[in-house]
Amino acid sequence: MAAAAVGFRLVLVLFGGDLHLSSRPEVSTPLTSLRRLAEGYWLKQASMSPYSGSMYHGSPLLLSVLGPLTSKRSGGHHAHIYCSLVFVAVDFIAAMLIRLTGRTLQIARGKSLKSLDLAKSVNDPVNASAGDTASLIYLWNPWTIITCVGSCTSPIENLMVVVMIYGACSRLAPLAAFGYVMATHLSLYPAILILPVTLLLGYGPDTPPAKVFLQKGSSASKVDISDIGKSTSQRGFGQISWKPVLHFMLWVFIWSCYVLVLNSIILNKAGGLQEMFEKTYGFILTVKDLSPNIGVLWYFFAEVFDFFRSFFLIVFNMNIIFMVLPLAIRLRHRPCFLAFVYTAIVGMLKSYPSAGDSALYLGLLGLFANELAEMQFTFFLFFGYIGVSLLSPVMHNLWIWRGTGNANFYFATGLAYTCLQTVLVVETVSSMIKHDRKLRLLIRT
Amino acid sequence: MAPARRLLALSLLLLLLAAAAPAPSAAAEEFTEELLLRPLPDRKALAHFHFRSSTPAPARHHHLFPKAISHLVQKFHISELELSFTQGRWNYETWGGHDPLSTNTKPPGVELWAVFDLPSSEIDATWKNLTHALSGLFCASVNFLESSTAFSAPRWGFKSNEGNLRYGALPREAVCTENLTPWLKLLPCRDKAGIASLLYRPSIYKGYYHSQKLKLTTSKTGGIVLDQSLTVVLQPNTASGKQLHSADGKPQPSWSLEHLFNRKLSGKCLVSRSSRIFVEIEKGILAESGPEASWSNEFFELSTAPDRVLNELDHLDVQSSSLYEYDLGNYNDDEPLDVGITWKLPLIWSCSPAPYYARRFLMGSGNERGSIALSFLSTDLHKQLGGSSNDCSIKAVVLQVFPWYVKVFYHSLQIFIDGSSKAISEVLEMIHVTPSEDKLSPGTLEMLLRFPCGMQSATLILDFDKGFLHIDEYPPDANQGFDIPSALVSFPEFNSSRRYPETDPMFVSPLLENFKEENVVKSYTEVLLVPLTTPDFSMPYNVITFTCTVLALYFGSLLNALRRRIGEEESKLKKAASRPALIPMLIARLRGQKADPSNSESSPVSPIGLKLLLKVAFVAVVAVAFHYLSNS
Amino acid sequence: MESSAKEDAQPKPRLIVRLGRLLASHHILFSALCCSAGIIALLFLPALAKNTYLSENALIPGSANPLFSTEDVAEANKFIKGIEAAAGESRDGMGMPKFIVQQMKELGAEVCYHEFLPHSKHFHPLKFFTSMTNDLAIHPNGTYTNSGTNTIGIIRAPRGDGKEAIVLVTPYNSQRVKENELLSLALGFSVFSLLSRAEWLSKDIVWLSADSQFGEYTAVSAWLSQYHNPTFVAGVTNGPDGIAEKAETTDFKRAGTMAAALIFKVGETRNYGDRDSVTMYAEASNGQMPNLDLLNVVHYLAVHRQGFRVNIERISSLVTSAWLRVIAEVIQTVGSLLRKINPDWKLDIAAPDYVEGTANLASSIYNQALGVPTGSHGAFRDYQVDAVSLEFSPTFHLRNENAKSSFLVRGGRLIEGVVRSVNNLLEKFHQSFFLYLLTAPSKFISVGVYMIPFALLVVPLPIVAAALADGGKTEGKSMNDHNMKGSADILQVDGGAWKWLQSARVLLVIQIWAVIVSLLPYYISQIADGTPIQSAVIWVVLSIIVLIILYAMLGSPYSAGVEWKLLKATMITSISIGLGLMSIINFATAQLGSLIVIPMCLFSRPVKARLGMNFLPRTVLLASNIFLAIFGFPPVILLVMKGLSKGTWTVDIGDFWVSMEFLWEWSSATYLYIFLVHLPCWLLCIHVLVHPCRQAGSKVKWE
Repeated sequence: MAAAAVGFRLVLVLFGGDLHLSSRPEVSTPLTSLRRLAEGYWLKQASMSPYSGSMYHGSPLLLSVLGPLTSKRSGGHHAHIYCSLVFVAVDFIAAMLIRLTGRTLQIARGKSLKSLDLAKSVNDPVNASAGDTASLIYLWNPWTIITCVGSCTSPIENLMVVVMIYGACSRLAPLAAFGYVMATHLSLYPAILILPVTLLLGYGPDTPPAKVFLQKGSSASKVDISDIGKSTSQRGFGQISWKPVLHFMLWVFIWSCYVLVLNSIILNKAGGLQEMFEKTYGFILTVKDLSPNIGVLWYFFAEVFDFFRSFFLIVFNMNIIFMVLPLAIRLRHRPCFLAFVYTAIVGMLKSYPSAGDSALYLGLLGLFANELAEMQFTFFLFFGYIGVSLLSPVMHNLWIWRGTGNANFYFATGLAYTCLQTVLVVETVSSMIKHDRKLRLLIRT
Repeated sequence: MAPARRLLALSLLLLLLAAAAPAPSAAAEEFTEELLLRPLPDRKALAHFHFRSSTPAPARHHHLFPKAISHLVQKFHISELELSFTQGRWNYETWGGHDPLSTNTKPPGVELWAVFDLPSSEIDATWKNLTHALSGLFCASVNFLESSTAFSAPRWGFKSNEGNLRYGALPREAVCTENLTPWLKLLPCRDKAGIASLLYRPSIYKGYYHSQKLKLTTSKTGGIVLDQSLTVVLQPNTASGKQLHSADGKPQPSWSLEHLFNRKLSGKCLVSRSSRIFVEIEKGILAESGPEASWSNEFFELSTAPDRVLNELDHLDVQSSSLYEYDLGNYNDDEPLDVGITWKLPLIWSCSPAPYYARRFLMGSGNERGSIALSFLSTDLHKQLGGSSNDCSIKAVVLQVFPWYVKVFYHSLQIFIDGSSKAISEVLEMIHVTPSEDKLSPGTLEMLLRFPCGMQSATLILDFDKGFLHIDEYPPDANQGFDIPSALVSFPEFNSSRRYPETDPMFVSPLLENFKEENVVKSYTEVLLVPLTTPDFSMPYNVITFTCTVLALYFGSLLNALRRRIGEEESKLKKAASRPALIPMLIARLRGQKADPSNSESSPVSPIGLKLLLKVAFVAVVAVAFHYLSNS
Repeated sequence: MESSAKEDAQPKPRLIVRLGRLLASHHILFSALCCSAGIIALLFLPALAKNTYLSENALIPGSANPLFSTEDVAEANKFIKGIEAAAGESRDGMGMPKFIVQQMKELGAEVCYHEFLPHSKHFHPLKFFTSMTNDLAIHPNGTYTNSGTNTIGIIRAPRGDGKEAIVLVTPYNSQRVKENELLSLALGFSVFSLLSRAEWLSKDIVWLSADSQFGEYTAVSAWLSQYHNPTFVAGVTNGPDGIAEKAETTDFKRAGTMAAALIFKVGETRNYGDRDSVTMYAEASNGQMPNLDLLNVVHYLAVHRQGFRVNIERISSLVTSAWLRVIAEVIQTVGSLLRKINPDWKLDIAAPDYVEGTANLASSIYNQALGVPTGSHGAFRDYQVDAVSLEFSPTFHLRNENAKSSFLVRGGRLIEGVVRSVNNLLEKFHQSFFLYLLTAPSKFISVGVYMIPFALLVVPLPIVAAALADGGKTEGKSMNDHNMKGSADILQVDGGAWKWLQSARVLLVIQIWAVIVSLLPYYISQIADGTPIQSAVIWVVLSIIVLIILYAMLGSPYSAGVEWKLLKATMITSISIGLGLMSIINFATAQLGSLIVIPMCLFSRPVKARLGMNFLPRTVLLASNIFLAIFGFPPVILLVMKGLSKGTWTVDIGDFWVSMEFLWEWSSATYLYIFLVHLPCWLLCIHVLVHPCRQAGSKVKWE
């Protein structure tokens, strides 16, 4: 299946040139568009700052890695074919990492269930292992495919996030730190993933909540102290094993220093780090570019009065951060799931959302196929996503290319899409909580 | 603050200097007025008014030189300035592109460029003040050039300088008589006497091309030269409209000052040092009509005998255009001058064109992206000039200013020569790009191209994305689209000098001096109109409300989902059936997925619904009956 | 569904609970109500049409008195004589273009030729989504011997800055020119010569005399694609063969952004003695219409200034149909009754007006739904240029000189007036409607009105889908509700949430099949150059084979034991999405399609379904099911339409192929609709019909 997915991508890359995916606003945002990257590279070659001209807003590292590939034009109608090949490989790696993460999660789940001796009573509705499901979902998700084919750099950002989660799950502090630093460097928002990563490194992968083990301890009588002892020693409630966390912090520091040094070397003639931060993070935080995307902020800031702009900027940026703590408190025993929820929230509320972000969190969603088995209105969500992803290009076409519609048409799809994501996030969280409650009920009886 | 103070001090110093030496400066102030008439191949006539007033040094009192201008120069430290108001387009193909007049044509709208002698830190501020001063002076909205998105600083594409030149254009500025009146006020005897008295508004604004220029140059010694010129292309209103465009069989329409301006010339402006009228006959005509440049031959004849005939000194070919000069000093009210030309035989000639016709057009449709194409079409001029060897090449310099909302991808530059794609490096010799910053500054593209002589046509293509603006950044007529100002194409290897022998050094003619200058051949392309997509201007409140509602929805429901536990615990204690939180339950009810509660409750609910339906129906019936009764 | 999502989440607790349960429980009644209401509203549409009005103040039509005078007519007559001579003396068909260019040059206009080649049959049904890039551009290769030659003349506005242009198009056939075409050319030329002297012009004027020997659309679209996205190929710059023109006539000339385009031609002489009439054609590809203001200007000037009679297309068979008259009577009585009740409801419409309006409306809907432009104005609409074509149909014999001259005067004044109005316009057309239906040249139905019947028809779908999905799940739940207490398997009630995945998979398989089927004609038209019947047969056979193969690969719909309710719910959801999309792309198609599809979906239930109703209603249900299933099949629909239109009930598979080919050549979205929305829905209906109701078995499989 995975091979088939890769082959499908290759076919699209080689022959699907006239779909103009790279110019679709759903696919490529000002941050991730490869055309802009090529422009930045051209400016850099012309010994100007790549950021001059407010065209490129990505990372200098990407510039030096992908730039040479964009400059050499293949004769075919598909301009950036080499980059697309790179992206195909990147997608494949990301899928494999998701698979491994799923494996570890599966093992952890089995262990914890066994320690609660629920293993027999709780059978998996999804007979395949969660990791395979997740990786297949990630590979065959049409949005991942168009993101990969329609040349934009979000596959790499997704890969970095996945690397971070994988590293944290399998307790590889350096890897996790690398993923964290790179993801944060490429697109600011993964910075809030520091919490789940720390929890992962501290507590280990997802488990039923600590209360369950307490009840287990209380309810199950002296028969298996050893089990309780094991479980308690395995995951002492509350106390967190600090060593990997400290490792992680150290490595984060090292990697970030390294990345900054690299950037300053790349930008030494032109601009410098100061300009880089202004043009990347500043561009993300103060929504400068008003070109349409599947989010809602572009139209909002195109219409809002100027004297309220800064206020709403603060509000919307806070809106992402605000939910971080409550979620962390409520779901601290499931760091991976926490990471998924964060990515979903970011993909919904970030300033330049694209289909790539949705592809990432939908892929991660597959990791929790067992826990989320009785999620509600999946039917509605599924068809809602299909509807929106079909509606959005049509509305865009009507507005931009035929001139018979106006901007409200496209904005409406953005609104609907945000609502869908809201329902998805809320439903996943509540059903996960319900799942934990069920576990507790099981223990009690 | 500091620059301002220094500026003040400097101006004070200059004022003192001026006060110190008023007499010599006042003595040497000069004013000359000239008019050049020229028949055009497509049965039109060109009239070029040229007034020059000069002062050796800025003073407090001028009796000829306009005081406003000298103040302008002193205040803003202008070393060079040109402001032009233009209406209509110069037709490079038929009206020529190689002679001094046609290389000094201007694009439609307002164009302003100035060279300051100031440190580069103060230039932008000075420019802004200058635009305001000029807009006050000429009753035009030149002050739109104040915003940093409107002007740019080309390095060598426009006029080689060291960073102290500013260039701005307003293609949409409408030109009308309220711009002409202040311009005339600068003349010593406004339009009351002299050549300027020909400027009868209805006739000159009916022209096909109308460009009014003002050029300032200051010499090192502080002397100021003010060149005011007005170029109009007029249709001689001879007979009925039918004869305007008639077959080539008929001769050209004969015209005279009377026809063109509804005026005759009666005497010169008294204070003017020299006041003359030239009738220029292109070499194309003379090539037809024969070598002897007499003022009346078998093809045409001038209504009045010229005072002097000048032949162009041209080394290339034997035949050259010639000037017929009339000195206005010899005429007065009793015998007014009415120069005219009468054609006897039909005559077809063509003006010498620029080496390439430069055209510019937009490609693509839709409001998302497009391409701007600049096409050169050879006129085989180099063959006429001889030296057509196969390895020769022609240089062309392109200056293009892009507004910021046209986001050009400079890496996407393609060049097609004679229909086949060429590598950039083959043609492009030098390129200088200053990319546009969003809402901050326009992009400037300067290219030095080198075309092979044998080339027939070349096309340069640049892709761009169309920007999306904030609702306040749209003009009132947002749906008209936005303008891309004309590109300037200049051919440095060709200069448009036309030298006539200066017979008497006593009466030096500034117009002919200008003709002598070695100006490179320049031509402007068309203005382009880029339609941008617009947001719904009536929507702000709705958009704000909707967006905030959706975000609040996310926020509230997620918080709800998180704090649901307490409710659950209590309900579990109360042994009630475990029910999820409010909103999901409601959605669940709508979807009808929670089976256990709905089974129990749906039965009482549906009668309620039916009852409600009944009520509604009842009310409707009553309303209908009421209406019916009330109407009948 | 998105909207329902929003309303779900609004914090209005009890009401929504009630409504939700109410609708879910009475979904059958509700859907019946909605559908009938929708159909009734559809019938009321002609009564709801409003009079058109000019909403853009800048175009003040008829404010200036026209300059077009008799000497222009004299010029036109001179032109006719000249061009007849030119056409007579030249064999290669280049005579007329040369003559036109000659004339235009004498007017002092810039002229150029544009050579183009007839583009072969392309298969690009997706052109709508890959939003028109170069795929219209024609790459000249040596295979074509003869190529058409458009003649373009451009008048530069005297004091304008040349940013915008107005395009006048007169199609003519350079090979076999007819008299009325000569007349239209003369009309165009006289207007052109008038405009070349006009001093009030602020936009450039482009006169394109399109060589319509390959059809006028081909000529105009070739010119437009060369105008907007030219292809730079070597050897384009040599002029038309047979003439050695100077370079300036061969290189392509442009004139800024197009503000509007006016295509006018003089048709055959019809019913003598009546007033001369003008027919407006406005429908562009995929049911796009030009801005209503343009039509208003034309209509106003034609009727109130020049005394033409303005028509739009109509389906004339409807005018004489008896049942329509009956409906009209009913509507009239109802309308008058409502009028009595409330004098503000102006719904009463005289029966003949209603019939008239319905005939026009039907043709308007039909043309939009077909998605094929009714003339060369469609090519303009693809580039966001508002265009309308006028066909003058004179009512005199073309030899009748003074009638002709008066006709020329009025036609010229009409065109001049339109040009003047557009010339006044500062912004591009944006004030008035783009989405509307015409019931008369001066009556329109805006989107806000004609959306109502469609919305009424579509609304039941999500609710029925929800109810069905719920039903499917409740049964699944009810099985293990009783052992809910036995807490050993609380975690096992989870199948319910994801049960629909099976039916979604069936849907996916069928959609894949539909995509393959819709792409098959491309290859068939590539390889087999056979008769339509052959290719149609190949098509059908191939699609059936593909279906079988897909089932073999991905599992047949019944293998996974999917409940028919879930299957139906999936089908209904997908069809509602599809209809919603299509209503945005091309409303008329969606409107017509919904009339067929929605009853089919709502009625469909398994034949074997054991439902507790006695014999009669069950048989009725069954019969209606089968009836709808038969008439839902696209070829059958086509056959029925043909039969209704021209009364020939000959069954011919070739016709189907021909019409489909017609659709995809014009890259009409209707083709996509038929094969990506309608056909899968129909297949799913069949599946539901023949569904073996083994719910119990499937339940066992699920536990």
